[in-house]
Amino acid sequence: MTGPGAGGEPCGAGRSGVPPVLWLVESASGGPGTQEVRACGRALGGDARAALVDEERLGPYSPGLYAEALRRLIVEEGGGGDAGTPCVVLLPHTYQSAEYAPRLAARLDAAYVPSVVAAAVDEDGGLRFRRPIFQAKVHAEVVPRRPCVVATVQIGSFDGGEAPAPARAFEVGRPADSEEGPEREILGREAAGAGGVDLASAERIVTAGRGVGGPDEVSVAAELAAALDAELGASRPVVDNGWLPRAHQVGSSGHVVAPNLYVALGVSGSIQHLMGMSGARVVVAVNKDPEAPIFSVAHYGVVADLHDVAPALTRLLEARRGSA
Amino acid sequence: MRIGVCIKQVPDSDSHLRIADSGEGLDDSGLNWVISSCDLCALEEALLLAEAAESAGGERPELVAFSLGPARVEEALRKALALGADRAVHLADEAFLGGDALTDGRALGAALARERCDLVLAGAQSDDLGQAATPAVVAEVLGCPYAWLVMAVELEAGARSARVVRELEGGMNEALRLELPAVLAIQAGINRPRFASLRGTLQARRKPLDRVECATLGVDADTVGASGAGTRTASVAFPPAGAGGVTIEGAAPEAAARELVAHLEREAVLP
Ligand SMILES: Cc1cc2nc3c(=O)[nH]c(=O)nc-3n(C[C@H](O)[C@H](O)[C@H](O)COP(=O)(O)OP(=O)(O)OC[C@H]3O[C@@H](n4cnc5c(N)ncnc54)[C@H](O)[C@@H]3O)c2cc1C
Ligand SMILES: Nc1ncnc2c1ncn2[C@@H]1O[C@H](COP(=O)(O)O)[C@@H](O)[C@H]1O
Repeated sequence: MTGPGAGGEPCGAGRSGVPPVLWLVESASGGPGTQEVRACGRALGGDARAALVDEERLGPYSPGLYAEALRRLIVEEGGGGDAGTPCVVLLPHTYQSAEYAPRLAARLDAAYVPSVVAAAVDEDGGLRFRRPIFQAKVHAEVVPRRPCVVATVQIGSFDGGEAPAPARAFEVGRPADSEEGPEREILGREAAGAGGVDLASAERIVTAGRGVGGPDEVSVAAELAAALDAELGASRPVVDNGWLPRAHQVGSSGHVVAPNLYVALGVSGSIQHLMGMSGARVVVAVNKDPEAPIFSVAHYGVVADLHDVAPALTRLLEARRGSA
Repeated sequence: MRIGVCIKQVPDSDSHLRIADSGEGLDDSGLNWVISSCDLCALEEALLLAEAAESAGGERPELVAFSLGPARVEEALRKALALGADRAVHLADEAFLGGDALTDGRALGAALARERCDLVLAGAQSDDLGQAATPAVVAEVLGCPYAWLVMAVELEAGARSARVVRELEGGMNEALRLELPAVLAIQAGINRPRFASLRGTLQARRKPLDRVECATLGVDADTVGASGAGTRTASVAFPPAGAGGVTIEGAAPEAAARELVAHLEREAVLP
């Protein structure tokens, strides 16, 4: 199955002429990313089946256990691993499945392609995945060199309507004879940061990105926020560096916001940040790098130094208010 | 006790990226190379754990930094030594180059196993490739417990287990207990990495930095690097700019502000 393909390369999924079996890993309780995984599966075509991951059945989550349970299902039901049938296993890039998916790939000796945002089948049947690299500043087209592929699909990618559920679904069972012990003990859950900032219902938000430059420079964003009667948001590095408290953070590990106006100052536009603010009605970005990915979602993009433009905006808005 | 820290050298995030003429990757020339941001946090966390063990009257764990890459990564390892690591291991074989998370994790796992680390700290996600996968593969090789996106680490019970806090979606955290040895992928924000002191930088020159090859680790050269990789990057590109948005460029700040405010007035989003 892994004979040389074009250019003396090992044969990647699809290239052997056998269409791969497509496994769509879905949470039985309907977690995030189900639509994205189905849409990615649709883009690849082929015989799609769902692998239903149910905590009730599998027991409390741990990465090694879930990887092993899925591996067994895939190998037993044809496709993957020892059986050698080409297969593609798609999981949502959530904090749970992105944690164990690499271990599944290692156990299936599969190619691993994380955080996919687009997928296609080439003319010769080979698969091709697009994934963001360099914090989404660059896109890479990745081709597998193994009969099996495990890929995680970025949440929020593949928009374009509802994709139907696969006709067949398999429940992922707990491996009875598994040697996987309780890899880790869950002690409890809690909210990460204190509240106090009302970002979720804010009408306008001005966000300070790492590009503001330092703890003392966050004031340029705060002053613009005051002039706009807006809440103050922050990208993750601004919080990680201690320039603003965690309660200000917008993004996948912070607040998901949907204001009428979102002004991003010195924010590059990483996927995790966009996941938090792509629901905003009007997006303004100020960034000195014309290639910053934030401009791909901005309705109004200002290519400039934020330390010039933001104070000018603040002055203008204050004057406008004074004359109103 | 021995703590291994995985250090990846990446282009500085403010680097001006250019695509190589082949179109298959980035142009390596003229880049400023630094330690990936989560890895600095992983190293800082290892230093904090070592200091905590010492101040509790115990033995200070030995900290060993590992990096896979071309000769330039020794600069990153020297930096780790300057920050306080005791030793460094460079996975220096040419055969290691050009791989992906699975091959790099396999090679790093072999090097970490050889040093019998009780705890391995790595970054949650590298600043360049962002695969978020290499440490999971290391755990797979070592056959030990794993946690990704770790926001707090505490050693318990004579360092037989660790209590960690792991980040979940939407601002929630989960507390976990893992038996050691374990691999923890550290998320940015867990701590504020220190800066190297002059004294540390001078001491770093005398600390041991070993080079290991496939043969040293007993790994088959065909299973690592470009020849073992399960993926190949066919091409790279800058994402298409501007989804039909208005771009304001080259204007004086006041003029840019006036133009923007006029647009926002039309959109009726101003107070
Ligand atoms: C699991 C996980 C969860 C994450 N969750 C989040 C999250 O919830 N929220 C989040 O934001 N990130 C999150 N991140 C981090 C994310 O990947 C990025 O690292 C982060 O969003 C980058 O923040 P930034 O845009 O402020 O900084 P950078 O990417 O460093 O961008 C700074 C920008 O400022 C510009 N700039 C610099 N100086 C100036 C100037 N003078 N004038 C104008 N522009 C300037 C630069 O051109 C650059 O584009 C997460 C990462 C992981 C791995
Ligand atoms: N070449 C490497 N050398 C040392 N550590 C690495 C290397 N590649 C990845 N890592 C570690 O794995 C983490 C995650 O990388 P990645 O899987 O590429 O997102 C990094 O933050 C490092 O700690």
